[in-house]
Amino acid sequence: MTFFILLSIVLFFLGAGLVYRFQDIARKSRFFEKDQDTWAKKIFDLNIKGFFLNTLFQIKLFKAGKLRWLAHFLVILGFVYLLIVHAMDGVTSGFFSWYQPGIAPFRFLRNLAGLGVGLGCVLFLLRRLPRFRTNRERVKRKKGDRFRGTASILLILALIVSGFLLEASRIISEPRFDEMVEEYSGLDEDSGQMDLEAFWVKNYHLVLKEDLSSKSIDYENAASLNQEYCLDCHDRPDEAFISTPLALGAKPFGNWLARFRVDNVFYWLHYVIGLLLLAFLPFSRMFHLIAIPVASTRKRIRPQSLKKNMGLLDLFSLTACTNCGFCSEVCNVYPNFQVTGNGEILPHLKIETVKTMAKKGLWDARTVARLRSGNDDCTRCGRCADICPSGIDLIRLWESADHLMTSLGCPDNYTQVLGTSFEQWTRQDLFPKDFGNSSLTSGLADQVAAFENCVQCTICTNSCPVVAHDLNQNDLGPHQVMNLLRLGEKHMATGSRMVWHCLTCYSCQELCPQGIRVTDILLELRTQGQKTAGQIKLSQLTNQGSDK
Amino acid sequence: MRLAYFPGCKITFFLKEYGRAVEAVMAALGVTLVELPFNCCGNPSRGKNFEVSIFSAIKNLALARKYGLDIMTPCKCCFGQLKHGVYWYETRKDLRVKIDRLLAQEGLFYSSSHESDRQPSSIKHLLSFLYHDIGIDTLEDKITRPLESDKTVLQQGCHALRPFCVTGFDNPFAPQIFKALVNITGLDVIDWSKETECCGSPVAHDHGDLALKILNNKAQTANREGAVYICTACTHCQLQYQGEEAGHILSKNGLLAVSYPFVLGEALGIPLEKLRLG
Repeated sequence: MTFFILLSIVLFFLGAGLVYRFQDIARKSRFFEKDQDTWAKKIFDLNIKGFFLNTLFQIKLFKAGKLRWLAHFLVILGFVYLLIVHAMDGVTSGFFSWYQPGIAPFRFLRNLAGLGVGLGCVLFLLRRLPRFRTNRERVKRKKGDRFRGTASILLILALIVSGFLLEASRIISEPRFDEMVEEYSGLDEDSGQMDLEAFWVKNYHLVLKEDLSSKSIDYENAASLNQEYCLDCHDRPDEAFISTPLALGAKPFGNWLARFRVDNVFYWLHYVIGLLLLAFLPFSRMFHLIAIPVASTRKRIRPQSLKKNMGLLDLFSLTACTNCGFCSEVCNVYPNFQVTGNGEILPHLKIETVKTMAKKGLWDARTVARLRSGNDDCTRCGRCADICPSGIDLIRLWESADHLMTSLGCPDNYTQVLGTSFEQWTRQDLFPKDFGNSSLTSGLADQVAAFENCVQCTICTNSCPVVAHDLNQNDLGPHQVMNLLRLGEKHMATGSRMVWHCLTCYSCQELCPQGIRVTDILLELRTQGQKTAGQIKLSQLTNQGSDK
Repeated sequence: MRLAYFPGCKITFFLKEYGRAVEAVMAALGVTLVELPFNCCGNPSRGKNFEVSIFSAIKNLALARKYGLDIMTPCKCCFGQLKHGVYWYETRKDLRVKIDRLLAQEGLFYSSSHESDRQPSSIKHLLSFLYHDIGIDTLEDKITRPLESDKTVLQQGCHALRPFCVTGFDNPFAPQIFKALVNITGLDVIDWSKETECCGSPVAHDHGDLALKILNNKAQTANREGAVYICTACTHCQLQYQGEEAGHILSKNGLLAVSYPFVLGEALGIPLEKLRLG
C-alpha cells in the first residue's frame, strides 16, 4: 500500500516534471518560433526511419564511438527488459498467462539483463577515469555536467546492485519464506510446513534458525507439497546466476540477516532508488532518453530548405544534447579556436549559449558578441550534425542562431560596418585595441613600402568586378583605397565598402604594374575593420543591455 | 596512387553529389582517396583573422605530411588557400614560430627541420592532378563515351589562378589546363570574356544583390556566345551557379551549370547513378 502511494506520488512528480520541461521549452521556443504554419507542418513532417535507427539501434552513436555504443546498448537493452518484464510484472503477467517472474527462463533473463546494465554502467564509469581518456578528447566539458552524468550512472548502478542483493537476501530469508507459505499454501506445523522447509533448505538454499537435521523429514511429502503450492511460479533459484552465488556467500550470516529483515531493507532500497530515478528523469542527464527520440524524429534540413527554415529555433532538440563533445572533436574550424581562444566557436559550447540566449535574450553582451563571432566562423560543413549521436540537426541550429542574433540586434560584422555612420566609425575611442590575440606583425597596410609606389593609374579599379557591377553602391575604387593609405587614413579605409565587398579575385593585384599587393592589402584592412566592428557592436550591445 | 582527399566544407553538406562524382572518377582512374581528419582550409577566415587562415592551411598540410600523402582538393578556393598558407608561412617568420608551436602541441610538424626525411606534401587541385599526374593523353585514352560537342564556357575559379606567384596553377588570364581537360571529353569549349572573372560566391552571403548582378551578367554574355553549359571545377562556383535563384537565371538564358568531375565521369562511361549516388 505504502508502495502504491509512493509510486503515485513519484509518477505525479514525473508527469509534472515532463509537462514542466515541455512547457518550459515550448514557452521559450515561442519567443522565437512565430510561424504557426511551420508548427503544423512539423507535426506531420516526421523522420520515422531516423527515429527507429537512432532510438532503437543508436546507429549514430555506433558510428561515432563503438565502446560508448556498446555501453549504451547494454544499458538500454537490459533496462527496457527489466522495466517491462520485471518492474511492471503485474501488468506483464496479466497479459501473458505463461509469464511468471520466478520460473525458467525468466530468472535467468532477469539476471542477464541486470548484468548487462551493470556492465554498461561500469564501462561508462571506466571511460570517465582520466587513465582511460583517449588523447583525441581535446575538448573540455563543463564540470557540473560531468557530475550530473556520473550521478545518474551511479544511481542506475545502485539500482542494479540493490536488485541483486534483494534477490540474494530473499533466497535465504526464512521470514520471507514464512510469508510466502502463509500467503500461497496455508500450511501449518501439522500439515507439513516443516517438511517443506527442510525441502527448501536442501534444494532452494533457504537458511533456517532451528536445526532440522535431527528431525525426521518426509521428503516425498515435501516434494509433492512443493509441486502443489510452489512450483507453478517458483523454480530452483540456481538459474539466477548472480544472485544465487551471492546468496550462497551470505549463507553463514543468514540468521542475522533474517533477524533484522535485511531483505526488506534491500527491498525498500531498491524501490526508493527506482522511484528516485523516475522522479528526477525530467531534470537529470537522463532526460536525453526522451529528448533524443524526439530530436531524431525531426526531418533533417537539406541545403535547399536551409533558407526557408532558418527562422525556426528547435529548442526541443537542443535538450537532447548530452554534452558528449563529438561535434567539437570533428569541428572544421577548430583551428580558429586554437588561435583565438574563443570557446563559442566549438559546437558543444555554442549549444549551451544558444539555449541560454533563447531564454534570456541578450543577457550578456560580451558572451553574445563572442557567440556571434564564433557562429560566423562556422562554415556549415555539417560534420557536427553528421556525427551528433543525439541526432540534433545542428546546421539548422547554427543557421537559426544567426537569425536569432540578428533579430535581437547583434548582426554580423559586415552588417555592422554598413550600418555604422562615418562619424561613428572614425571616432578616436573606437580605434582598434586588439582584443584577444594581437596580430603578430605589422601588416602590409602599415608598411609604407607596400603601397607608396602606387601611381594612381586605376588599372586595378578598371579590372575590378565590384566596381563594374556595383556602381551605385560601391564607394571607392581600389586605387582610392591605396590613396587613403598614402594619406595615412588607414582607419578610414577599413570602413570602406570596397574593402568589405572585395571578391578577393586578385585581378587588381595580378595586373598592378607597380607590383602592389592590392588584394592582400584590402583583405588585411578588412581583418582590422572586423575588430572595430566588433568593438562598436559590443558597445552598442552593452548600452542596449543597460537601457533595459 | 594514394592521395589525401581534401573535400573542403561545401561538399560535406551542400554539394554531396559533387563529392560523389569526384570519388567515382578517382575510383575509375585507380586512385585511392584517403580521408584524413582535415579541418577548414582557412579561406573563410582570410578576411577575418589572418593568423587563423594561415594556421588552418598549414595544419592540414602538416597532417597530410604526417601520413606522407599529397593533398588533392576539388575546390579552387581550398587549393588557393593552401598555397597561400605556404607562402605566408614561409614569408613571415614570427608567424611561422607561432604556428610551429601550436602544431607541436598536437604532435604535428610542417617545417623541414623535423622529420627531415619526409618531403612536405604537395598541393594539387583536381584539374592539375588530372593534367600533370594522370596525364592528358592517358586520360584521353580512357574516354569511352565522348559527349556531344555542345558549346561550353568555363568558369575558371579565381583563387587557383591568382596571384600566380603564389598559386602557380596556370596562366592567370589565359588558362589552358581546364580547356584541354574539357575538350577531351567531347564538349566544345568556346572563348568567353568572363571566363576568369569571379563567380560572385564570396559576397553571396553578405551582398546578395552584387552576386546576382554578376551572375546575370555572366549568364547573358555566355548566352550571347551561344553556350549551353557552364563548366565549373570549384565547389564554391558550382554552388553559386546551382542555387535556386541562380538556376532560374541560367535556365532563362538556356544554360546549365555542370561540374567537371561530373562531365568527366560521364565521358569515362561511369553510370549516372554511380555519379549521383556514389
